[in-house]
Amino acid sequence: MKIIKDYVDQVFKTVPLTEETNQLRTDILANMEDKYNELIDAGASEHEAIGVVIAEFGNIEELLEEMGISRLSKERREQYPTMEEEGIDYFLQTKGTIGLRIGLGVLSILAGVGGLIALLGLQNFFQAAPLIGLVFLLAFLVVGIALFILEGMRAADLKAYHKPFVLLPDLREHLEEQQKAYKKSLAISIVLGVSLCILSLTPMLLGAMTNLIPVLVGVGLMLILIGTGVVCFTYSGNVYNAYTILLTNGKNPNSFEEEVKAEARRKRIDYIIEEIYWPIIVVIYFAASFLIGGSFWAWSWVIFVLGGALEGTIKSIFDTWDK
Amino acid sequence: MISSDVIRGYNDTFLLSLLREGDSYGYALSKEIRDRTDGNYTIKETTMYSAFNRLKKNGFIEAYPGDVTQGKKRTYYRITEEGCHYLSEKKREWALTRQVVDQIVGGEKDENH
Repeated sequence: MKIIKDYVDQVFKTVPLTEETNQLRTDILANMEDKYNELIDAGASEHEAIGVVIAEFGNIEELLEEMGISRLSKERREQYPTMEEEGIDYFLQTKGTIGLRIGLGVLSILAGVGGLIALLGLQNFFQAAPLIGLVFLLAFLVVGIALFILEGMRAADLKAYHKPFVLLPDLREHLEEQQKAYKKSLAISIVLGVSLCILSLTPMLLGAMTNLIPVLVGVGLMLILIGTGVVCFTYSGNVYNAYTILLTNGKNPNSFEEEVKAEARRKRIDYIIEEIYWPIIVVIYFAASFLIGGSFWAWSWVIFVLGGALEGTIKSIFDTWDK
Repeated sequence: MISSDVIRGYNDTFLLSLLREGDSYGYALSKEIRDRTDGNYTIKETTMYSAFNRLKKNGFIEAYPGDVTQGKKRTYYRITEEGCHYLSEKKREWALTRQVVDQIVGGEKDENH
């Protein structure tokens, strides 16, 4: 059965993906699979069935010509992949995992440092405490750094998602809904993370103001609590951000070329503003202030406020110009 | 097995005739064609979808998403009023064509004389 799917995928590889061609591919594949199943039920061998089904596929050129579809240019095919459901799910899952593990890496390092500090606080109770603390720190440091390196490498695999790609409109709608639904989880996670960070002050305060625990133990516990809070931020933040990345880089197949071009233009405008516009303003600020001198310094900073206001204007002028 | 070249012009009519009997989808239609012709003619996938596309463009059929069966959302087709008119026109044309071909190429009837 997989052979049939591979065959159809291969044939459709150079066909531009639109709602229409996607449905066409789904329909044809469903037909072929039905035919295959029927042949198998009738007692054909797998090879025979596949042979018949593929022979009865016909000629894609005939169909494309009839539908007035021209094949994708080689460039676009190589430069811009098409993300389908599997690819999207993979990205979302991987981003979640990365977020979680980066968070755990931070927690691990904070736990190592916190552990060392806490054990230093216990020095009066048993002598070997600093040594144990050091071993503790090193072990957790290794785990944390290993997590960072591994996840950093994994993130590099996701490069394809940071460039424009083709995303079908119904898949986009689905993603938008999912992101909206995720907003609640994000809010809960942030509240949880912030609460943990605020709560983390309690052990330190307990240590500083009471005799219940040594101050250093309080500080150690605080770091661990903060680390736990960070996990909440990095996990939910990464998942939410994953949706944003997909929705920004995923382009509608019908207007793919224009969208990519428009984005390139926007980037160019940002570049001009950042690399030329703001430096000029800085130069004017210093030049004018030094030349005029004296009390002019007191209010020459206004140029930055004006510059900021003007930046918005310039961008919107470029935008309307684009349209 | 009949060659697809000979029958090319009739694919649209085949599909319209079958849709006249009720809405249907790709595989069911191609299976019906094969079964009714005792396996003498099998319509190829791309030929069928070319025909669907042509018929749709001319407003003879309409496509609509069917229920999800076995996880697949199939496209169903329905014949339109115009499609019915076109079909009856095609039927008359076929009756005439058959008569003409018979009269010249000759059916078995003539040889039996």
